Amino acid sequence: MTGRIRGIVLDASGSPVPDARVALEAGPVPVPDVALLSDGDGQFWLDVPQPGEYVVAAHADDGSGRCTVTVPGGGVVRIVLGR
Amino acid sequence: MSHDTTNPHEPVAPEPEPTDEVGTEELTEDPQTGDNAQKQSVEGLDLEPVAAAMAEALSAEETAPDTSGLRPIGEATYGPPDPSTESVQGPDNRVQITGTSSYPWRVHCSLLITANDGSRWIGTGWFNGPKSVITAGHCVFIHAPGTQRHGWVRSVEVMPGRNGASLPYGKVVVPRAQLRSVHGWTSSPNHEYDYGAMLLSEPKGNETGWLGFANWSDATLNGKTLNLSGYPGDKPSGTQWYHWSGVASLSARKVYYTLDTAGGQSGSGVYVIENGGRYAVAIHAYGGSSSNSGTRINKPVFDNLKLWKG
Repeated sequence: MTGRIRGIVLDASGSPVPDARVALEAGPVPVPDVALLSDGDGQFWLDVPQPGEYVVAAHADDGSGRCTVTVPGGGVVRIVLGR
Repeated sequence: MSHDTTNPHEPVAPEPEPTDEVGTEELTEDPQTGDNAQKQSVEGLDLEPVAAAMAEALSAEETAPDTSGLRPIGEATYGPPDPSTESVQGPDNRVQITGTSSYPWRVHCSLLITANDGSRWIGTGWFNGPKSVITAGHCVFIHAPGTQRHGWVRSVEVMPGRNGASLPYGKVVVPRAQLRSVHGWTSSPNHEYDYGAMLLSEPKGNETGWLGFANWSDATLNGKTLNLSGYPGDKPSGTQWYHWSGVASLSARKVYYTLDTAGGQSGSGVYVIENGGRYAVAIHAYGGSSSNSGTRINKPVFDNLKLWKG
C-alpha cells in the first residue's frame, strides 16, 4: 500500500455521520470491493495501492456522497451526504 | 558477508507455472440445498429465475434512443472523470433479493468485520459446507503495514440470508482463531491468492445449504453465464443484490467479468448453474476498469476449499 486517504462523512447540516459505508468507487487500478464503516466521529482512513486519482463514496440509509481525491495529497477529505 | 543459516544444499524448485494450477482434470464438489424445501428450481436454466424474468421484461421494453455518444450531464459541471476503475459496468442492472430465507439466497452471508485496530468493515461470504463460509482474503487478513490495522482481523459476524434488519438464520461470531487464508495472500497483497474462509463452530450450513464449487477448464468456463449475489454498500444497509454476466476473460488464477458490484461484495461466490446445481468458480474480490474480477477456483484453491469444508 503506497498511499492513504483520510476523511470524514458529514450530513447536510455538517454533523459527523457514524457507520456510513465508505468505499473506493474508482481508481487507477483495481481496488478491493470492501467497504469501511465510518467511526463514531464520522472519520475514516483507507490505504490505496498506488498514487493516482480515486473516487471515494460514502453511503448511509438517508443519503450518499462522493468526492475525487488525488493520492498523495494531504488533508482530510469531507464527504457530505445528500439525497 | 551473509549470515544466512539456511542449508545451502536445501533443494529448491521453480514455482509451478500458473497454467498448471488449473490442471487437466475437472473437479466438482456438489451443492446442498439445506434443511427444508424452500428452494428455487433452476432445471434447464443458466441464470436465476429472477434474472430470467427481468431479461424477458427488458427485451419486451420499448427501445430508448441511443444516447451512448452523449456525455454525462455531470461532466458539464465537474469535467470528465479521470479515474479508470469503476465497479458498476454500464447501467446498474442489479436485482434486489427479498426472499433471502430460501435457497440459494440464504447461503450468501452479510459480513461485519472488526479489524485489529477496531475499525469495522462490510463484506460477503458464502457457505461451501456445513461449517465453512468462503470469502476474500482481504476480508479476514488486511494489509496495512506499519499500522495496528495490519494482519488478521479480530472477528467476523456472519449473517446468512440477511435482509436489512431481518436475520432469518441469526448471526454467528467467528473469532480470529477460526479464520483461514493462504500464504500467498498473508505474505503480500497479491490479487491472485486473495481468498480465505471462516470456520464455524456450529453446522449452520445444514440449515442454509451451500454452493458447490468447481475447478473447470477455460474451455468449459468460456461461454458460461456467471451469477453473483452479495451485500453491496451502495444499497440500503444489509440488503442482498443479484447480478449475472458472461465471462470477460480468464487467467490461471483469475476470472474477469462484467458483473456489477460495489464495496461490500468482496467474498461473494461467482457461480455457474449447471444441470440444476450451483457451482462457484471464483471468489469475487476487485472492481476493475473494464471488468471486475475474482480469484479463480483452480486446483489448489479447490483443494483448500475442500480442506476447509472438512
